This record gives sequence, structure tokens and C-alpha cells, in this order.
Amino acid sequence: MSTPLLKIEGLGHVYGARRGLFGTSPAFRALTGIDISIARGESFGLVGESGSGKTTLTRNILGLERPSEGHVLFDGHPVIDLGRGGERRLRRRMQIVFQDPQASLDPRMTIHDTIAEALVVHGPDLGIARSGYTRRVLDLLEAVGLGREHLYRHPHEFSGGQRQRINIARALAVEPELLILDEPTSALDVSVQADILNLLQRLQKELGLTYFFISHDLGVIRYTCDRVAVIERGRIVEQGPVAEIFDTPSQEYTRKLMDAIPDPDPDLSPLRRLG
Amino acid sequence: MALLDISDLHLSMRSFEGETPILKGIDLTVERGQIWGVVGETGSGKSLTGLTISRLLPTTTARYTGGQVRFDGKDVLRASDREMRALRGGRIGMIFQDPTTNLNPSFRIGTQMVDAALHAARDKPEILGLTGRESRRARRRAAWDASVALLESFGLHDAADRMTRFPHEFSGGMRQRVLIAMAMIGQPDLLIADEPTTALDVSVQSQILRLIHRLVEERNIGVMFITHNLGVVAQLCSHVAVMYRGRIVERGPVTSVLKAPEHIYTRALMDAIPTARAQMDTLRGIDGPLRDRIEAEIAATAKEAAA
Repeated sequence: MSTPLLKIEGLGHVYGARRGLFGTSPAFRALTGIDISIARGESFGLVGESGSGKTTLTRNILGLERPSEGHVLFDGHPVIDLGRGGERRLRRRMQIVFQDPQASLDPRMTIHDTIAEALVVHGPDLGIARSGYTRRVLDLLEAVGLGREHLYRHPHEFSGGQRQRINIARALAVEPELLILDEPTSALDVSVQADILNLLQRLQKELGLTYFFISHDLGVIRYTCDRVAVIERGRIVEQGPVAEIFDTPSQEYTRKLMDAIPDPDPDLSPLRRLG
Repeated sequence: MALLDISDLHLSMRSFEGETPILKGIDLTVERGQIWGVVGETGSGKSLTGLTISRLLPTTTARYTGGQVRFDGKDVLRASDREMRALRGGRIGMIFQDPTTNLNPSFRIGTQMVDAALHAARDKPEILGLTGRESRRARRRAAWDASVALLESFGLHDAADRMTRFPHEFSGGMRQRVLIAMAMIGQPDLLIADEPTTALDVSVQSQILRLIHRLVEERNIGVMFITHNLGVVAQLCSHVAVMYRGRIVERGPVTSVLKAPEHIYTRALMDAIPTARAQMDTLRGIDGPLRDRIEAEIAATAKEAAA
């Protein structure tokens, strides 16, 4: 078997004791013994409640935090201590889309400049000359379902769903292999969420992307992912194919999470006994 | 008489570009013991409908261009500010989406709870077991005791100790419980909950829903639950009103509306939900052509009604 695109082995993270303005904060263990292996072209879901360590894990994958134990390998190579050039090359290969589509766009930049900025940094690595930026930005906008009339508009002229499309276009601008999606639809209406999820599925098929999809919405994970890991208090409690985990969860915690999803079928309401 | 009766409510908002109609004839009746789910997308006017009931919209920009809102027979839109202040937190309780911004970070939870309790007790001293002739100190003590008891009944352990703490020492779910307690301390007849669980984890959400459900069963209050989550509506509500661009396009008991939606927009919303049972490529967003069909159907219905 070929090298997994992302391999996390025995990852642990402890936020150190810090002396701050209001006294000393004690050391906090955020992650313990995380093992995850993601193959190329796979969609991997991560589910957990707030405070379970999802963000810390993401930061470790991106090389923004130094793991306290274990390591993160991207395509067989560690993600930290790469030097400036190495770090830039790694950044190009993994990109992230955040939850809040508004906060992730600069309100003073046009969409063209926002997306082209990624090319200014990574253009040389991709073999795209300055004169080709606008062409490339147009192609990207088309890929995410936006037209050329949007090119010189500013973020405030777009709806939440359109903004998230722009974020996806920007992430794709540098031809990444791994796309980390951190709750990309939880700020959106369901109708818009459905469009974005379908867009992500289509892009994955077309571009052979690998997804690391973080969400607390189990319906979204079920719809998008091949495999899923459930994280609780910094530990992976269960991990496996989506259908298996969802249909026959072996852990009490996973079952509890599943039961808590409000189902749109009124007959399945545990509250409704009054008729 | 209905607890809440909104009839043909029209609301416009003024801006530099002129006046825009926001609510275009809302009719809604909430009885005691009913939990009405109001669903719709961003901008459909569901929150503004909720704010109208307690008249919390700034009158510099918002203008009511028609219709009535009757709360227990009283015309809310024509009541005096003094009457409205007594209603808010007294007979009408409100909870909002973000439990962080709705608590003052610089005051202890207890101080804020007691304030809410004393406000409600001005008109209804009996809710704190008072006659209205007690000393300030006695009223404060009664408000404190009532707050502790209510928080305990909402599943907050060591409530007496928690009352002395600041909002930042609470988790999101606990803060939301405190806010529901603040809304309920005045023993309101109507609770307006505007996306109260949207910012919370699913497991915490289900606890909050259970709490609201229990309040309805125990106290026979009416609830208007504003949300964009049809799953939450299916689980909690007895009735549902589906809003689209300032109109209610479909309404009725949850079991009939969600099981056999009649309006094209309701069906479109249902089709967009990824449930645990949804398969790949089966979700359908609301795209341009579908929106055109929805608009056409709504226009046709409006014409029919006018004829």
C-alpha cells in the first residue's frame, strides 16, 4: 500500500503552565494518543463536542503547534521544522476552510485580490506567471459556481453561502492535496449548506482531493465522509467507516451523540408523548 | 381568548435607500400549552416577528404599517412604554441565541438573576411569595432564594455557589440555562426563544430542549421557538410555521406539516437536510430555478387570496 497522505501517530498535546496577568494557569492536556491515517482521495470526518480537542488537532496537523508527544506525517514527512521554504511548500499542499465565511475574508479586498494573493505567494511553485492570475481566478470562481461578474466585488456584497464558495476557491487556488474543512457549513442555512456539501463532493471527484472534515453535525459527516473518528476529551474513542460507526456504534459516547441529533421526523421525538 | 394573536402584521424598515417591507402580513395564534416552531432561512423575518411581540425593534428604523399583535387581548403595538416594560420579563420571557453576549460579563450571575426577579416582582410580588410591602432587603433575599431554587430545578448543581460567580466561569450550556432561568423567574405566560440552542453542542441542545418541554408541561405556558433547524422543530414543537421572505407559507401541527409538507418551499427545506439516513448525492439545495418556482407559487397564492 502506498504511503497515507496524512499519518498521525501517538499524538499528544499539552498546553504548558503559563504565568499570566491573573496568576498561573496549570498545564492542560488537550490531546492523548491520537492515531489517524488518511489515504489519498479519502474523506475523513472528525466529530466531537466543543472542548474535545478538535481545534488543537487541526493546529497540529497544519504544523502550527509543536506536538508534545508523537508526530504528524504529511506524505511521509514531518510537518514541523521545515525551514522557510519547506514550510511554504507544505502550506501549498494543505489548505483550510474555516467556519465563519465572513471573518475569513478581508472586507477591503476584492474577490480577485483575495484569491490572487494566494497565487502571489505560491505562483512560482505552481508555475503560474503574474499575467495568468486573473485567468486562474476566473477558472476557480467558475469551479465553485460563481460568475465573472463577481470578480471585482467586495465580501460585503455576497451572501454567506457565496462567501464560503469564495473561501473554497481561495483554498483551491494553490492546488492543495489535503483540504481541512473546519465546520464549513455550520454558519449557513440548510438550503445553502446542501449546495456547499454537494459542491465539495463534486470538487473532490474532479480534483482528487483528500478531505479532513470537522463537524459536530453528524448528518453532515454521514453525508460527506468515508470514515469518521469520534473524539472525546482529547482521545479518539471510536474510528471506522461511517456506515459502521453510525449504524452500530460500539461506544456509549458515540451512541449518546447520535441520540442527541434532532431528527426531522416528528415520530422519532422522545419528547412528544402528548400527541 | 388566545394568549398571543398576531393578525396581518406588516413591518417596514427604513434605510438610506428608502423603506423596505420586511413582514408582509403575518398571522399567527399561540395558545397556552402550544410550542410553535417558527422556521425559515436567514432574512425570512422570523426573528423580527419575535422581537415585534415584545416591541424591541428601534422605532427610528422600524415602522409597523399594518396589523395587530394582541397579547392576552392587549394591543402590544399601541401599549405605552411603561406597560411594555412591565410585560417584558414579566408576562413575556425571552431567550436569545448567544448566551455570552446576553449576560453582562462584569456582574455576578446572582446579581443579574436578582435584578430580573425584582423587575418581574414589581407587578407580581406573589411570584417571590411577597405581598409588596416588604423591605428592600427582604425582597432581595426572596429574589435570591427564588433564583437559587429555579437554577437548581434546571439541573445546575450548587446553585447557591454558582450565583456568586461570573459568566466567564460558566460553559455555554450552563449560561443558556441561566438565561432561561432569568426568562422564567417572572413566571411568564409566553416564552419567546430565538435560536436558543444554535450555539450549543448537540448533547447540550437536547438537554435544553427537554427543559423547555418540561416548562410547558409543568406551567402550561405558550412558546414561540424561532429556529432554522427543522430537526429541533420535529423534536420539540407541537406546531410549526414556515416563513419565507416575510410571509408564513405553511403552518399547522408538526406531525402533519413535516410528515406531509404541502408547500413547495417546505418540501425544499426538508430535502436539504442531511440526516443520518441521507445517501450521497441526494441532497438538494435551493438553487435559482427552484427559487423561481417557489416565488411563482407564492405569487399565485397571493393572487388567489386577493381575488
